[in-house]
Amino acid sequence: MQRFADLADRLHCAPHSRAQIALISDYLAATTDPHRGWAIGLLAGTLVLPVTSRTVASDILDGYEDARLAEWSKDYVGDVFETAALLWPEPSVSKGPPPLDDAVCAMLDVRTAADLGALVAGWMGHLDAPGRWLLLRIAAGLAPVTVSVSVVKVAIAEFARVGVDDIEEIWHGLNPPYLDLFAWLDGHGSRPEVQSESMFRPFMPAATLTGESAERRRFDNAEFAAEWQWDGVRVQISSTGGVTRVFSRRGDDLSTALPELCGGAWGDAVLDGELVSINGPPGEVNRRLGRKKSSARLCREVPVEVRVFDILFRDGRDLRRLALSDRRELLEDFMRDCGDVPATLSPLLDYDHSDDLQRLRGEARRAGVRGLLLKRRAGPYLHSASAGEWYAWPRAPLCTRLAALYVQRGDSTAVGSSLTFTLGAARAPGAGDGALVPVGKMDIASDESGFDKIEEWIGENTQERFGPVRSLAPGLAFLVEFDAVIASARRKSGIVLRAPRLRQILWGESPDNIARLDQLTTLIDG
Amino acid sequence: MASLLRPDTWLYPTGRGLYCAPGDFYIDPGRRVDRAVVTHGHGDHARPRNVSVLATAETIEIMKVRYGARAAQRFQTAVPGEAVSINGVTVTLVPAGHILGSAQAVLEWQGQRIVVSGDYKRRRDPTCELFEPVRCDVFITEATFGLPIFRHEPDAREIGRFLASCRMFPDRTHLVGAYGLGKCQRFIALLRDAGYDAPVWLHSGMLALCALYGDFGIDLGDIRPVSEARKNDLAGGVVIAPPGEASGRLARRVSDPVNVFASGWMRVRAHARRRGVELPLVLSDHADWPEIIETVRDTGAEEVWVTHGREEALLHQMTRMGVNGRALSSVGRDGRVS
Ligand SMILES: [Zn+2]
Repeated sequence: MQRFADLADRLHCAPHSRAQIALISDYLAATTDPHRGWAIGLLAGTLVLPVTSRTVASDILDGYEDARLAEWSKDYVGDVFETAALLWPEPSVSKGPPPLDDAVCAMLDVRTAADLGALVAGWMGHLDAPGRWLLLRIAAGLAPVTVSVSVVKVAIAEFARVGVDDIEEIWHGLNPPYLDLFAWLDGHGSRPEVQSESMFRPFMPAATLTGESAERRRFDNAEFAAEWQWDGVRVQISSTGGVTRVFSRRGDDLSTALPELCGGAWGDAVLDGELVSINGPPGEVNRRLGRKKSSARLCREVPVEVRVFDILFRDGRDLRRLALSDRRELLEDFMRDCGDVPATLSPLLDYDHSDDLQRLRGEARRAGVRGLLLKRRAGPYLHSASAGEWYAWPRAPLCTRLAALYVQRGDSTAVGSSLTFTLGAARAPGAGDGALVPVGKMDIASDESGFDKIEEWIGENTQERFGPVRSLAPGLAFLVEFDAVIASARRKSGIVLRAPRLRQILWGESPDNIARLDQLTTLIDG
Repeated sequence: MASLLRPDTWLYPTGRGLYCAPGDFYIDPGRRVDRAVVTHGHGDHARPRNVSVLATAETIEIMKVRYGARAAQRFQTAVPGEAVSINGVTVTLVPAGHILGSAQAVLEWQGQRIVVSGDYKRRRDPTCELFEPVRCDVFITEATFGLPIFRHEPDAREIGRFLASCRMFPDRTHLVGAYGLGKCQRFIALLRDAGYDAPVWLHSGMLALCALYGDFGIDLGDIRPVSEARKNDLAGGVVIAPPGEASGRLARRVSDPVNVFASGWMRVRAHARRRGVELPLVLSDHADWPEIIETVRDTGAEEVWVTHGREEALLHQMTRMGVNGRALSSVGRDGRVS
């Protein structure tokens, strides 16, 4: 377990994914089964503990020998889990923590939060500070450290010197501690067979085009098919042997939330499409996914369907190596033949050249879609991003002036650091300075020009701190591009901006020029 | 040692620094004075241009290297453990374990003893003498790491993590941010103790002080100026630079370095991430929380004056221990113009 703790500690501060990949593959090479498989499960989030406790860390702080020292420490560190790990006494004589396998198996057997707490307390005295932090996070059901699943897969591939596609293909059919996977990678077994069951297959991604790059590119209907990019949630429908499952982009199983889809007569196929709400505004579809199960009433209130645009398997045959144009024909056949399902075929758009696309894109907002998708007709269905295959060309953004209300330092494991600003709109004309309400959050990365100046300004204009969040004095505003205004009942402003992006930093902008809430509200989609 | 004499009538902070009234001298004065006792060579303790300075031989040489002719008009060398009288006040410098030549100033007057510890640490350091606790009436302590979360890891463990990282990333330069006086030399000495004998590349500002350590018998092995390195010398090598420099021009000379920072602050990983440190090493020349508490106990002081850092939490802890704690900045403030 200490070795995994050391890995997590290094990953936590790793500046880029290359370093993370090197650290993980190094760990895999130096660690035996089943420990390394549990570690992968913890890093990728595929290992789910039956019992977790959010309060393990705060309980430790509450029980610390002196309340004021605990409070000052927490104020200084910020994070409750790290504070609790640092305050816990150092091991004096320790036999060392249990091996990861023993620890994970014990946690998998736990049935009550109290038992989990007792297990954790027993191990704390045998771990160093980063190890204790890791343990508390795991016990709380949090990711031990923020690593993307794709980094984990690439690391496994690099460790075993196989292609990442080989891992990707079988990944969703395997479970921690991945004994069959490592047996195969070590050359002691055959590649795990995971074809039979209805199983998630990785999606084909689309590269996003910015306005200028799209205009420079010439698209031609003979080479690229065009479709609307529907405003919903990408899903995969995997149906075989009378069992249908629906998966999200990340491979999460959404089946129980979408009973009308799973009850459909799909036959034997794997389909790719976008789940949309039939009547309501685009955001409505998330109401169906927000909970594990959908009640009959919710299904009636928010009816959904799938706009299907690709077919990956038909009657057990893998179609992904076929060209898109061939898959499209098979998809059209399939949709004609299949039974009663809540799905429609996503139509291809007619165009001659790029000017037509420009015009279609201009109509996207009125049509209630997010933009255009352009797909190379001759291309196969790939699950790693490949240049020149699929493009998403979002509709032209909206743009407005918004004030910076709060700022928080973002995750800095990516290349460089970032700041996350809470953006404010004016409540009503002439309602005074304090009348700004939050309407969304926007990240600014450290490679943005003007970032240093912003950091300096924040240093001099912080008003209050609430943990990691600082409230800011007036004076910093942004010209912000955003995709849409979404109604949001749980927010004070009643709205939230979708996909806000910095266009320009505005210094010394007059408060009169900040967008008013009532103006933004008129832009709500749907 | 109980006495009716109030200690804050004869030692108290002033605008120029901590002042010993009967001896008419200052300890680590922040501004130019006639007579100074200097605990160690760091810039916030040893200032240039004082008229007369009492310090250890090592501290005097460090001041000369750093300040040249401006260092002071007159130096008086104090031999550790040997008492000197200044206007009737007995002054003894005793090792503080902080950096080469660092000392506590032990002051005695009319049967009362006050120890000004300066900066100190308790663990063994190959580049300086071990801290010696002295029984006293008043102990003046730093509170740099005055929170119970601060506990420094064993040196050998942190150096082990560093060397493991060098093995894991054999093509990347390990760029170590460390203060040029003390931490830099201790880090190299610890590397050498751990068997690392490849050249260590140094920022040019660090060379003179490293040479001085050599003069005092501390062998740092093969050290070279980084300006003389060719690009492939640095791949897989170790470069040490002051914390500010490590991220600036130097960082651009080495591609994709592992940013290392050796400091007690690195105990809090959130700190490390915020500073873009990839390999935080918890290695400090200041006492951590348990060391401060242990030292207060060892001195047997009934009164502890706290300075430099997180005074609030340490004062609270003194109360819990039944010791009379005061913030040094508040000492002597009642009723006397200072
Ligand atoms: Zn110092």
